[in-house]
Amino acid sequence: MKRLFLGALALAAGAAHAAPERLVAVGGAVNEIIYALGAEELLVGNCVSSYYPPEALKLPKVGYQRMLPAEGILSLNPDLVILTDKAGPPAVIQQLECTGVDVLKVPAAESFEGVLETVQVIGSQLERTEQAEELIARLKTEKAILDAELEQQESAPKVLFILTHGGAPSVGGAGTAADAMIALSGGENVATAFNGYKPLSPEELIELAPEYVLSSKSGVGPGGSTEAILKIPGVALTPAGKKNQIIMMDSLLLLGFGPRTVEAALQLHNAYD
Amino acid sequence: MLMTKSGSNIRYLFGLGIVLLVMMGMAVSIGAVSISPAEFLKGNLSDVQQAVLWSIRIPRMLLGVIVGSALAVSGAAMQGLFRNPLADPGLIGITSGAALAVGIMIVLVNPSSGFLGTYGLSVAAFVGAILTCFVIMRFARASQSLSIMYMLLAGIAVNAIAAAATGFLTYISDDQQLRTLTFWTMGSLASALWPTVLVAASCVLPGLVLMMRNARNLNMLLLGEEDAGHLGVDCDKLKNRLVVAIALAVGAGVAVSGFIGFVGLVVPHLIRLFIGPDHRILLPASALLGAALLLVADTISRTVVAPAEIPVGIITSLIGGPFFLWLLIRQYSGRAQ
Repeated sequence: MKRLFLGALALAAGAAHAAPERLVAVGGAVNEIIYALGAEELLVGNCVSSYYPPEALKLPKVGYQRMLPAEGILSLNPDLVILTDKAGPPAVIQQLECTGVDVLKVPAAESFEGVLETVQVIGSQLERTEQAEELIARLKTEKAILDAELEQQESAPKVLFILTHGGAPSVGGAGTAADAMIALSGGENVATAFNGYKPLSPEELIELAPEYVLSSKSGVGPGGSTEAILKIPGVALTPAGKKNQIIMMDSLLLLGFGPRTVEAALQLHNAYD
Repeated sequence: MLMTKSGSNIRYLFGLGIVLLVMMGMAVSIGAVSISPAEFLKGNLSDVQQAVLWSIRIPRMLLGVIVGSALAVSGAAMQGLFRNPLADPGLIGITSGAALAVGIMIVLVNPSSGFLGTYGLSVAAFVGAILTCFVIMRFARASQSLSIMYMLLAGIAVNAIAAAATGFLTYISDDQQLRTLTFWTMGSLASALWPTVLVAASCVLPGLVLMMRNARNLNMLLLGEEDAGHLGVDCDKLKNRLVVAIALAVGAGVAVSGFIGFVGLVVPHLIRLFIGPDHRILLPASALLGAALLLVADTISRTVVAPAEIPVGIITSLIGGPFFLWLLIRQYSGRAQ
């Protein structure tokens, strides 16, 4: 009886709100989750950060997620725009809502549990709950493998994340995606005295004495190299610099917190000897 | 030139008015979502087209008209006030003062909802603009004979101080605030909503009216402060009134659209070049041409990389920068002859 009732409810909800057919994905992780759920044929556009899987590059781009164009998105004629709480500007999101397009705002995940939640939310919105459950189960299995590996680890290596964006290099402090990923991989972030990304002086860098320096390169365009990281004043004098323990990873893989989060954590974990 | 017949003046204004109307039509019909004027007139637009037209494109077009005319008329009035063709709200630091105030609002106050969430940045930009205006006026008045030089030097100093303070705010801001700050600085009309348009209009229109009502006094000021005084102009009162009007218009314009450079410099120069320096026509003509030019720039910014967008401030600076250089060369060679 209860099942029948739930079935009727689902049917009613389905009739009131048909599954979306034309999606615009904003945010690299959102786009990746849609691909992982096998719903990529619904995508009509994504953003410049959506470069994985490589096929995603072929879709029309609506620019950067914090500077979305309202009309540009509407010109793709979507019936659902999925974006994260980092998307903006706020007025543009309001404009989208004014025009009657459905906007689904998911929290930008910065933890393993957050990824599972985002997958679940997007899966149910796209009426792909089965695929979402499969994906969640797979991620949990991967996480169990990672946890088993971490248990064998004797001590947490000291890691520092350096962000290079052309300007002065900044390091990832507490509360950043890099901090969460270092923790997930069994490392210890040495820069937790402050929140967010901050530029550090060479002296402070040496003082932090990281055993590993982690940095990211963008999947598209020229990225940073280990040599460039070693040239940042102070890095060469840290234990990481002396032993040449510089780890470079793709930024969407490392910091995206999409379906490849556990894979990234394992990869990072394996990079520590 | 001051003796231009009023008949031909009206013809010029009429012509510019038509240009502006054409640009308004163009701005409304061109965009990422195609809306043809013929379909619009027939009334068979789809729901999406209707929504785009009424909630996005028309408010944005109106905001372009308001901001473009605010920047151009303020530029013209400021050049008249300082008797210097290079005076521009940006060059003498008014916009960087407004930017600093907005930075303080974004980073230190960080309002997310309520009245301040919607209008906080506008209020901050207005206060920043008016404070900077008064600082510069003070320095310009410190020495009667050297007031222009003092004004430019004070502008440079104010720019440097505001840039340093904004830099410090950038340093202490978090990622989200940093992005807001950066995109705000680039200038864009993308945030146009009906309430924004109404708020901007309610600040800019009184400012423009105030400036235009002082057009005759500005003409007399061209003769020099002393002569204007003999002709019955109360110079200090005029300066104060204009400063308030400029800060009102520029502050409100900058508040809703960020930093849009060079409109205030380029437009009045074009008008002076082709019509003449009489403020009674310079100010309204600048309003019409400023609005039209900003609409062209915004249409470019919305369409060249569609479905994405380029901030319009980048486009106006790309056009304005070379024009400014040409202006400098022209003035220099004029002096050499």
